[in-house]
Amino acid sequence: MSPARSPIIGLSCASYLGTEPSGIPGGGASNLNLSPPCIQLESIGLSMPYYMIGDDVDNPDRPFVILEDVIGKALARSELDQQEIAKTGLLIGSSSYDLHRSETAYQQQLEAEVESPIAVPFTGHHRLGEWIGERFAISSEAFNISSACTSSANALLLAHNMLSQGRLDHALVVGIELFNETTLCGFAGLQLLASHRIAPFDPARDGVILGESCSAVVLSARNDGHPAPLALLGGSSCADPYSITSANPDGSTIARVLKDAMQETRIEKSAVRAIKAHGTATLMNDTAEARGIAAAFPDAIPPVTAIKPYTGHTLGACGTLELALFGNALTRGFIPHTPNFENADPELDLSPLNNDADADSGIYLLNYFGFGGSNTVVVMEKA
Amino acid sequence: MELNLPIFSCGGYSHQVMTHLPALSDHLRRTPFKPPRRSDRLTQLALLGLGQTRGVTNLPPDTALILASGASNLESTISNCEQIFVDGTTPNPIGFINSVNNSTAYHINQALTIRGLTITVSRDHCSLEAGLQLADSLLQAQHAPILLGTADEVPNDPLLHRRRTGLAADHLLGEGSFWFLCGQDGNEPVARVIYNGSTSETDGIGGLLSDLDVTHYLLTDQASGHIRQEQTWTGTRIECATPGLYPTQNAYYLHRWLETAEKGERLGLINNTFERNRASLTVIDSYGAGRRG
Repeated sequence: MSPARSPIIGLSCASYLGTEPSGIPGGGASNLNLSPPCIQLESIGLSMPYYMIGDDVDNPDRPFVILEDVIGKALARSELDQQEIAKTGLLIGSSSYDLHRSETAYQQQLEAEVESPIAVPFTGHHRLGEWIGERFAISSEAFNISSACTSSANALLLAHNMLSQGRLDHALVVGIELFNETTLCGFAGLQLLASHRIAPFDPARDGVILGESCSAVVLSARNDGHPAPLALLGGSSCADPYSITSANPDGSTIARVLKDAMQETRIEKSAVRAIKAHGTATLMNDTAEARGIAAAFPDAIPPVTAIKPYTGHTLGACGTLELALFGNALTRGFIPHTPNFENADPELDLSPLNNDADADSGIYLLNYFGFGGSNTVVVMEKA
Repeated sequence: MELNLPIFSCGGYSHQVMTHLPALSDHLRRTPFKPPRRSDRLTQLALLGLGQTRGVTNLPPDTALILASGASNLESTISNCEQIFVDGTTPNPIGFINSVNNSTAYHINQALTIRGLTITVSRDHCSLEAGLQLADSLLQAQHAPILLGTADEVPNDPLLHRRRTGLAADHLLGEGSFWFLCGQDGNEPVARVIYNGSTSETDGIGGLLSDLDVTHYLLTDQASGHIRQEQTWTGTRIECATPGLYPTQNAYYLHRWLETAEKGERLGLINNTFERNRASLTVIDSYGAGRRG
């Protein structure tokens, strides 16, 4: 029996690369400036590189402006009518939701010297989902999924389950991670931030740079009609007990989730055309991921690439963002290379693509790993 | 939407919060779970709830974990903001990690040595309902059990938290964690969730209750005023003494009902999200869990 297939009928995203999923240019060397500007955090007196969507971070309506544009485009591309949209399932993946709104309100209280100011005056994670439901007349209630950096990737898998079980005809999966000081300051405190670039799997790596993104993926349960160029086949997710901040560096848990994802979707290793790595360029992630891929593919490792050097690490939103950018590149015929990869790490048996490669029809694996021990692999098919 | 979610055991812990947060350490010492070092209050509440739930200590390793929470690690998030905006420092790394919404789920996995899919789901006061829907879907997709939990905490200080949530200074607050073991474990279920749906037409709730043959119905504290005024519904209305308001309080109500319900009783649990005027109905069949002790 073939695995369930959820055609991707609408894609849209906003990131440092712009407001289209075609943000990664083909042709190998590009004119992209992949060294992000620095953002100054007055609160803690630190400056750090950050991949942003524009620079209007203090506009209180910014999340809604971005969501309106991204979701509007994805739904328009899906060609669903309003009745179908009304019945569409809504799943959102994020690690911070609208936290910046709470931060701003708190700062305003502090500046006004309010007696007993209230930190985090807005609790819960459902406001963006409420807004999306109201704005786009989606009648179902949102599932707001949090599993750190795998949030929107897990939302994709959960949506695929519901579609394949006939619970939904269509699902809108949104990944959103916008500027907030808590996340930036938190990562600065963890000393995981790179100085100016992300260089996954390169021995000259010095960490990760964070980024903003909002992306939307419209999935369908229907395999009739016009064939979609991309489809989800499912995947797998598991918990890694090694550490709350990293996967087991021996690669065993990552190998397991890769194998489980192929088993769940009945994919042979030889059918895998390429792997989009999580590729954060932290030593722990690179080590665990390289060893995990090598263990899951002991005979021949498929081509591997990473998207984060283009966009920064967009945390809970990277599941849908990297699917949108990577998937769009595949439909234009190429697997994008990994910027900033110059030398192979002698400690790792893995070298990502340093030139674009042809993207054949077939199976592509998308790796996502997160704090809290969450490891997820999404299986995507290119027609 | 029709669901078919068997519940094999349930349990939990909650308490009222007045002016000070009750200490948890004595209670924690009586559970089989050792709280991780420097764990936050949400994790400790979750472990206390698990300690009251039968059948969770020998789960298959691939058991999936769904933690439903309205506000997640609120205390840690508040502390991070105070350090950044008042002290002008980066957050304490442990506190920052604790504020990652999945950290409590990570610690539960560690305590139970389970390794399946692990997520936190939130939908304000309907977070339990979101968790039930996901659990039902996951159960169809995998053979392993699903452990569905709820947890919400009151951050310090409780008086300020009442202001944060727009409540009067004397409003009764609560916090707690409840757990529902769902899936096939070879035993008879104690209950089965058979329906969950939401509607903006709150007048339609009465018709749904009748169509679904509920014998009892329960309005949560979050059910809005105009739902509460409805007087013509069929079935017996259940009144539960509240332990105090918190987002996943409806899990407490569900647990209380399951403890005492007779076999054959069918409950309609009526709730609604905080900001949107939509009613949510969850229907559960009891197989007499309370009578079986």
